[in-house]
Amino acid sequence: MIPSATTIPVQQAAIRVRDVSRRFENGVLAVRSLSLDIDAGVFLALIGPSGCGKSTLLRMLAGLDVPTAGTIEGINREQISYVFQDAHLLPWRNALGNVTLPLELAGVTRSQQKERATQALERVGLADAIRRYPAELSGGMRMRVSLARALVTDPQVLLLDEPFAALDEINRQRLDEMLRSLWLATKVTVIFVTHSIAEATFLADRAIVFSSRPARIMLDSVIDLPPERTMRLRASPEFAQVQGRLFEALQRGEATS
Amino acid sequence: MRRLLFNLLPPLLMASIVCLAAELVVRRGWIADYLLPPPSQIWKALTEAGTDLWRGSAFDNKIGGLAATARNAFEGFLASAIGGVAIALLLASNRWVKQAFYPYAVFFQTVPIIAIAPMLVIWCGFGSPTVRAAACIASIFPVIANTYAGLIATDPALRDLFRLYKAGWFSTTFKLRLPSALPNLFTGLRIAAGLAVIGAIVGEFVGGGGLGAVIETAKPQLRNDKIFAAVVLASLLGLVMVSLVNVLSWFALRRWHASERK
Repeated sequence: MIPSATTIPVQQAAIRVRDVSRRFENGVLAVRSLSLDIDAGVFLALIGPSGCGKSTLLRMLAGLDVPTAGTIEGINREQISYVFQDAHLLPWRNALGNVTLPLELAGVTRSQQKERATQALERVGLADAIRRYPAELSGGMRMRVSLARALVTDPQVLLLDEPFAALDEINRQRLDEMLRSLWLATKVTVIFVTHSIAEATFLADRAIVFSSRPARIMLDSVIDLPPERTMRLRASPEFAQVQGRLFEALQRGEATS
Repeated sequence: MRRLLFNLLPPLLMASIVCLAAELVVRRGWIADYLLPPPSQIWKALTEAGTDLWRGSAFDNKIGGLAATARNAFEGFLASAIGGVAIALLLASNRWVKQAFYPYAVFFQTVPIIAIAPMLVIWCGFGSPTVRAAACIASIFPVIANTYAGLIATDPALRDLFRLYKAGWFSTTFKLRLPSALPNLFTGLRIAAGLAVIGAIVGEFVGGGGLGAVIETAKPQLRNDKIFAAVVLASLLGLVMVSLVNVLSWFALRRWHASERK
């Protein structure tokens, strides 16, 4: 077994993960003594092969799952939002009703709910579709509603679990671009799980590559690309170079398992 | 318009053919009319002056016939809808509760209503209370079973979402679990609507009143036409109740559930 790569030291760690392990009831070890620091306001991508435990880590960060050992500190669970692999909207509510839901559950007044939800839907480019039901929306639009639902509470930390994996390539790139500009505007801490290297390279400022299960850190690297990112960046040599580096780490991680 | 025609024409045509055939075989003497009362005789029984089929006998001022059956079947159905959903919520609330109570919920499915009907009379008294109880017992299980199946099938990701936002029992139940169980609930209600009518008639056989009593008195009088007329009315009542559920289901689900979208 090769040792884990050293993680990037963070000046003002917002989130501290210390020796976290998670063993499921069926005996499978999903995560083994993992430690890392996450800076406030960073866009962090977690990359790894399918089933490597990166989603488990995300669920533990969200408090939806509990580590069997180790600690996670510095996450205010009142201030997080979570985006699932599929949109997972309430099919009996229209777009607006879906986005007001978190505010409703938090006890925000009705007029406030509507105002903030409408704004959130405008930010994801769905101002015209607020009365439409999920069954009447395309896959990409449903995912946008899901994003709006996550953003409407103005979270400090936004956790995304392969959110665009089910979309076609064009929709996916469009949503990547939108997410990046939303992040630039809000500087919320984003932790984005994906198995797409291109997506991680395009979106993130820091990327962590995991090995196969149990997840071990193979590479923790700053992605040194300009903050404003457009489609054109995907064709640049710098982009290809970063991708190459991540790809090499991912292959190493798969080979050692 | 064309769709309406398509929906109505084939069943109406079918009914006319069957009626005509029945009329023919009896008039020709191939089947005796005490074995199969021809449609014209059934029609006469339905429309004869002072019949107790519709609103009950003219001799006492209590309502009877179809009116009584309809009312008691509907109230029994309502009770099984409300009670069934409540029991399903209880069963879905906890694994232990489910283990403890589900076998006894199945009791409602397996109990022969005709066998316990005499007991119902002892417990509830003659007339409407027994009929309502029989309608409820006969129809509650499909509501429980279907609603429960819907409740436990709530999308786990959505349950996680509600957990993340610290939703309490009330919000989780009324904003997530019950709405997501609605399609199943309506399936249960559709089955229950028909069963409630059957339960009511069985209840009336022993408890008295309604179409059940009409059938009971027509039997010794060999008024088979009247028995058939009562059966026709009971079937129509079931049809109306099922249609009522269908209309409700359409209103509730048309915007979001595949079963009610065009």
